Amino acid sequence: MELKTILYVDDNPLDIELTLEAIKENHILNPIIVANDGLEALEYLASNGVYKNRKPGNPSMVLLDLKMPRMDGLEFLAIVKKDENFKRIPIIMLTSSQEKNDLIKSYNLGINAYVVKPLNFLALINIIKQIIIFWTLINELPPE
Amino acid sequence: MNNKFCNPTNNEITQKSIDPEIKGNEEKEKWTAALIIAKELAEEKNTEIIKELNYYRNFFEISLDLFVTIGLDGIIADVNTATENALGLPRKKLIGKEFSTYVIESHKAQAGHQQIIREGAIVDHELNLKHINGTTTPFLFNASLYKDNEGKIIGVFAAGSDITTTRKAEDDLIHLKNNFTQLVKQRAEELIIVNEELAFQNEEKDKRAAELIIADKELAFQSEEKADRAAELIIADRELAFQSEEKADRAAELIIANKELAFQSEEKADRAAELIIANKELAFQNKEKDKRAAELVNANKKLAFQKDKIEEFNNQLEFRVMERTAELESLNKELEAFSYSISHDLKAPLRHIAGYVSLLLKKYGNLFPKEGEHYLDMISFSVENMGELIEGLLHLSRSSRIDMNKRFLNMNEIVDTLIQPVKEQEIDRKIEFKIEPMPLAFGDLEMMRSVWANLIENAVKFTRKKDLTKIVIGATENENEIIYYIKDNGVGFDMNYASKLFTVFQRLHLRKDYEGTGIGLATVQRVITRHGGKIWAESKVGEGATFYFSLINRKESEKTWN
Repeated sequence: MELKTILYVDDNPLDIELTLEAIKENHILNPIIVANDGLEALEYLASNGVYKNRKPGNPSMVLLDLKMPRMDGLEFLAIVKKDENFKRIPIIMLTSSQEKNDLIKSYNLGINAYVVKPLNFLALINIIKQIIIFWTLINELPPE
Repeated sequence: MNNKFCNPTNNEITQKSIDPEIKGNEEKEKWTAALIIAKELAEEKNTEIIKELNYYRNFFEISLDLFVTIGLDGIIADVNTATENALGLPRKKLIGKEFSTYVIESHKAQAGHQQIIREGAIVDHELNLKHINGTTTPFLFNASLYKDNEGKIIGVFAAGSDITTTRKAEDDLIHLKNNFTQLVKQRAEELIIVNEELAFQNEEKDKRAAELIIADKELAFQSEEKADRAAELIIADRELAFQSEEKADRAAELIIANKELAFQSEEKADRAAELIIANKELAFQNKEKDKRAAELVNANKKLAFQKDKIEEFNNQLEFRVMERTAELESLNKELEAFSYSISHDLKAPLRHIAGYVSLLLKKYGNLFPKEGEHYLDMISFSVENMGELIEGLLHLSRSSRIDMNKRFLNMNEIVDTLIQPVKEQEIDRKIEFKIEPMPLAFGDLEMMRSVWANLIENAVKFTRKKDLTKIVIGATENENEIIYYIKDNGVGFDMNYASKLFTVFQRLHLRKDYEGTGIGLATVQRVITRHGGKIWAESKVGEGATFYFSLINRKESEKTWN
């Protein structure tokens, strides 16, 4: 069985490293594509730029940070949710912001879940495990 | 043509004449001679009869009156010339026709005809006949039954005479009679009026006579009066003489009075002079008045100017308020950006520290000596601590920043939902909660919940060392405000430091005894202040503490908010 791809969008290298560690801790073997901001994530989805020759198909889910250079999480959401080819991809916000406004805007733009990054690393490991298990194994994906 | 009873033929007469029977030849000659004689005689007689008949017929025809014979059935049998003339039709056309068709009053004519048959005759029966040319003529008819020799009724014989002239005479007579009656009536009425007039004139005459008698009496009386007046005149003359004397006296008095007047005129002149002075004074006063008026106008202008100034100040003030508001708004936004920055940027490195320490411990923990491990533990502890501080600060800034959604709140309900989990958490402790009924509060649910959560948490925290914890929650109410309170039997605090209770990061106890960030009560104070209330506390060391906070009374707040 082919493992489903996860698109992870975050700009902070330390966060990326720790998150990938947390994934590794859970022995999750799904391929993880890391994009450093919204623009790069869009390039991946559309198979443009550096992703010109990638294997076709949408990722099974997107882990998305809010605050990023060039194109932030909300801008990325707005574009993806209007695109006929990408709008059904599950998107899970993974961010440190608990601002009411960020929550409202994100949900208005059609996200599927909103997860606040915990301070405690052990807690992060646990959360990552639950997210990925749910969205790649339990949840039925939309047909492409 | 049937005229057998009025115009008999010669044959009939002849037949009747030769009726006797002739017997024997002997006598034949005798009888023949006799017959011849008889015949001669008869012929002679016949001629005579015919003559006579013609004679009567002539009478019938030449009569100026109408002669008509009518059958029992009302059909005309014969008429004379006068009738032909009256109707304008020849005899041939009239004979054989119903007689009443030529009469205006046809019913009356038929009735008359019946009357004749019934009674034998009718007298002076007046009927109007119709002439073929449309004119009518009045006739007076007399008629009787016509019988044959055996007495059998054959018909009616009527004779009518023209009464046009009679009728006219009658009409004239009636007219004259009417005129006469009218005249008599008129004269009679005139006479009545004349009589009445006469009666009235008589009355008037009597009245006048009575008046004359009265006038005479009056004249007599006036004569007497005249005599009296003459006497009075004499007296009056005397009086006049006396008055003339008086006049002279008055003249003298007048001279004196004139002198007085002259004096008064002088006085008047003096007064006039005084008046001129007074007028001058008035003019001066008027000028003064004008001056004052001008001054008032000036003052008003100054006032108006000042008013303008005030308005200007007000406008400036408004502008400044707007400016300040805008500044505040932008500051608020900055603050928001700042909290966002804290939540995201400040928390991120902390998270990283925590993450890497965790990884270090997990992967290489066994490489550290005991002391090194302790250091790593302390780093982790500090990170947790700082994370709490950041969360607390975020909460504090949110409590003064977010919009309030005020409504009526059931404080008992809020408190009940908060103490339930506390009871479960502190299952090992003996905690006695006494919750009294509290009036409704007007405020933001989330904020009020955080107030009670902080206060309850504190009460539970600072009573930790008691065997039996007693916490009382209640409220007192007056017209303007409701004072809610929470009283515990915990460690209490020194009232000297009471003012520092609600300051951020301020702690009155050692951290090792009672954990906490020192932000909770500061947040509570912010919330209460934003609700227009106050918070304070009373305590004695070792004897527990009571926290009070006041809110605007519901009725008051209704006035304020509606």
